Amino acid sequence: MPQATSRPAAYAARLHGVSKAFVPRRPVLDGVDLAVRAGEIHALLGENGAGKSTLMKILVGLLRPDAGSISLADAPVDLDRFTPAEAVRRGIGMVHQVSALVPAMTVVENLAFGDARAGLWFHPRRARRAAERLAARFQLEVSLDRRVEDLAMGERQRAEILRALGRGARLLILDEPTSVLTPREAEALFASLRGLRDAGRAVIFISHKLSEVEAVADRVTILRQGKATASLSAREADARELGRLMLGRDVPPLERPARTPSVAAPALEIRGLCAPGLSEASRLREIDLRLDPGEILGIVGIDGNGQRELEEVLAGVRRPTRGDVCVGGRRIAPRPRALRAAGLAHLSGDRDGAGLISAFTLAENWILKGSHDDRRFFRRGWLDRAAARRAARAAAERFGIVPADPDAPIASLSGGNAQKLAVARELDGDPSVLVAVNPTRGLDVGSARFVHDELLARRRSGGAVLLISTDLDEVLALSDRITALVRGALAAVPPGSDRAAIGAILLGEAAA
Amino acid sequence: MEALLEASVRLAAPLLIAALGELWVERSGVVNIGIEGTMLSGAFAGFAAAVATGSPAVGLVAAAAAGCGVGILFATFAVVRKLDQIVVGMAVNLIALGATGLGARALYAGNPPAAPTLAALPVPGLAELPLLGPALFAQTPFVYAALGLAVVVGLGLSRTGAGLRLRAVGESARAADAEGIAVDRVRFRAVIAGSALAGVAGAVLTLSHSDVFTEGMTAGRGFIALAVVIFGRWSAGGVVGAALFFGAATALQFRLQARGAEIPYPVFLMFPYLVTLTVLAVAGGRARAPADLGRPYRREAPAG
Ligand SMILES: Nc1ncnc2c1ncn2[C@@H]1O[C@H](COP(=O)(O)OP(=O)(O)OP(=O)(O)O)[C@@H](O)[C@H]1O
Ligand SMILES: [Mg+2]
Repeated sequence: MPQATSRPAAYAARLHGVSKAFVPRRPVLDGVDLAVRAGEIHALLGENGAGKSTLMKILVGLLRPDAGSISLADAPVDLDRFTPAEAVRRGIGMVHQVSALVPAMTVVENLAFGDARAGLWFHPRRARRAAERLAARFQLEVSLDRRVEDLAMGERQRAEILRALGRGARLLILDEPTSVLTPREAEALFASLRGLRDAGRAVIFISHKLSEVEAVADRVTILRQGKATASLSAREADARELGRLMLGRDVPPLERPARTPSVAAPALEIRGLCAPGLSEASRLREIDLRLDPGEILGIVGIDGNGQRELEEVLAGVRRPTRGDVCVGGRRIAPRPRALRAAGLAHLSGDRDGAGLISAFTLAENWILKGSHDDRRFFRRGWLDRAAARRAARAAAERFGIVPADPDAPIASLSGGNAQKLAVARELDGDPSVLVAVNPTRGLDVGSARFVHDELLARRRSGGAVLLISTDLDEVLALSDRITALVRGALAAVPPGSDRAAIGAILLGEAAA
Repeated sequence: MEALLEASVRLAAPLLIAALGELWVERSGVVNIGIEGTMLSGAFAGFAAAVATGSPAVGLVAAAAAGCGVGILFATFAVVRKLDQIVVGMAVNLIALGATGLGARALYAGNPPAAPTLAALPVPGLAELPLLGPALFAQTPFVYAALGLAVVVGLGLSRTGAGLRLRAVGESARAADAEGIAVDRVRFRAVIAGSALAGVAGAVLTLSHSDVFTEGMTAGRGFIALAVVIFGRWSAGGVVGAALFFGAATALQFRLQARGAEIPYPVFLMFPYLVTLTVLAVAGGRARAPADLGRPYRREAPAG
């Protein structure tokens, strides 16, 4: 795209000495420097809670730093007057880690409402055509006419990316945009990003998938405990080295010991399950599956192929039209309390929706899943706050949740730390079956490793795990058996299939 | 029958004007229960200005201005200072009740004159149509304005950029803010516009339905307008239907009371609400309040 400026800016953004503390004397950012050149893809890495999202929110005017200075396209920013509107005017676009779409609006409306180029009138049909063109240009498929709240996570993410790309930003910030994209979608996104870079724009890319960072980034800045500890060319380090720089330690590869076949009754058995779907493609069609104690069954699939529906049936909030659900050999009415009582726990794939209540504290969320007569926290209907806080603190410490403060609201936690709390809560009480949906979404490599170890520990002690995940690598690394969910039906995955073979099955390209 | 229809539409007009204003406000995520007091202020200001100048048109302008003034008061505390909207709204109602009462006593010492009223403006030809003619085409300008306003608000919400941004703010202030929309400015303006309409709605009572001002004369119509927005499910079309329905119920109630029916009058007061609840329960559907309704937006507060 031709630029009218005579001399292109050397730096899309420079941050100098940026500090921010939400709680006095506990700085989240402590004098961070970051320089992003025009025409580069700059990865920002760091553990969960390192302050990546906070830094980016400062850069788009959503948060005000306590100290520091910012310049955009070589022009200084007046931080006292810096607002998101000003950031948009200065050509910054951002895909937020926590969705910034309006759930009750359609995708078309979401693409349109913040568009500064829109005139006085809103023409639904014209807006739709513009959205269509955009989707085609960036090869991101989104159902444009559906409300965002009815979309699968992956599709929401695509919609949000599309919106940011469509704004034609000079600096595009992507805060974990790929956490539920398929490899192919991620590849298309990276191609778009490279295109932007080659046109002289800048991209800040935040991801915990280090292989992606390796593939797409030109430069990498590492944030550790509120400080930028390293800034290097992406060629200088591979994924393993990046992990070490980020965590200050090595993450050894996962070991999954062989499993001794179980003779006991299946932990979970589903027979002929049919359930209505949010869309035609996600209606569940005759699901049959069997999960043994001490087994991890991985269900791979592209988001929107029935994962959410299957999850909801097993959480007891979507009524199947047909079929049986048996836990421990007994047929269970798929209602939330009955399923829980039978020993089935559910780690929600929609952390901010069905998983945790973000306005509640850690302690409140900790007891929330329990029955109302959990002896540990309730005495004759009265809540034992001290016990709840003790339990939440213990869990937070064991899982390395920062801050390990039972009174902190979930909303004040970083995305990864909130996820860790959700995992810890569901593993508590040793469920015989754990339905885990994208359990490591948004976790840094160290934390992801920790959760994987926990799932394997559950397996070792005879628990069964139904792992519904869009992360192929995760499923491959953890599962004893793998099956695919394609258009609401299960498709067999032959043992020993590799990424490519599974990818073909997911897209329905496998030879019949 | 004709007379009943005519009365229904006439009585619905102030409700409709106030409710359409409140609809605009609520779609931006603010619930202004101060609408009762705002209407009352409009009724008084309209009356006083019309009496002083002899011109109902001037009264109308004064009513809108008074509405704006009350709206600024509400928005300053509820939007800018982010106090609880219900608390501020309640305070506005009580302040307006006291202030208009005080004003009426000071000006008229318990002996108010009659205000010049806006005459009906029949549309030649159409007004003589059987059944609907008198209801739709032989009304005061307020009624025509109310019906026109419904179209404006409906299209404004669905077909203008401002309406789209307003809806985004009401559904998710955070998402709107992240996209560069000035949340508080949108809400402030919405409150002012809605309050001006509430002021005009109040003036209908003193410049058309009657020609006097009495203390507390809105008698809960502002709250009914709030109910109209809810029963109208936050859409302009629904609000028109709900307002007409309440208007019809009120007209029917007057008629039955005038006939000296044996039924005690509170039954008639309950009647519209009972019917509406039943209709809603049977109809179902997904319409619901804007997700951020009643929640002040603070940028630096943790999301959620
Ligand atoms: N609004 C807030 N109030 C209080 N504390 C907050 C708030 N927002 C973030 N924090 C804290 O700041 C720290 C950094 O959070 P941030 O979201 O920036 O981390 P992150 O690097 O993006 O992590 P993740 O990889 O998990 O997304 C966390 O410890 C978090 O608890
Ligand atoms: Mg983050």
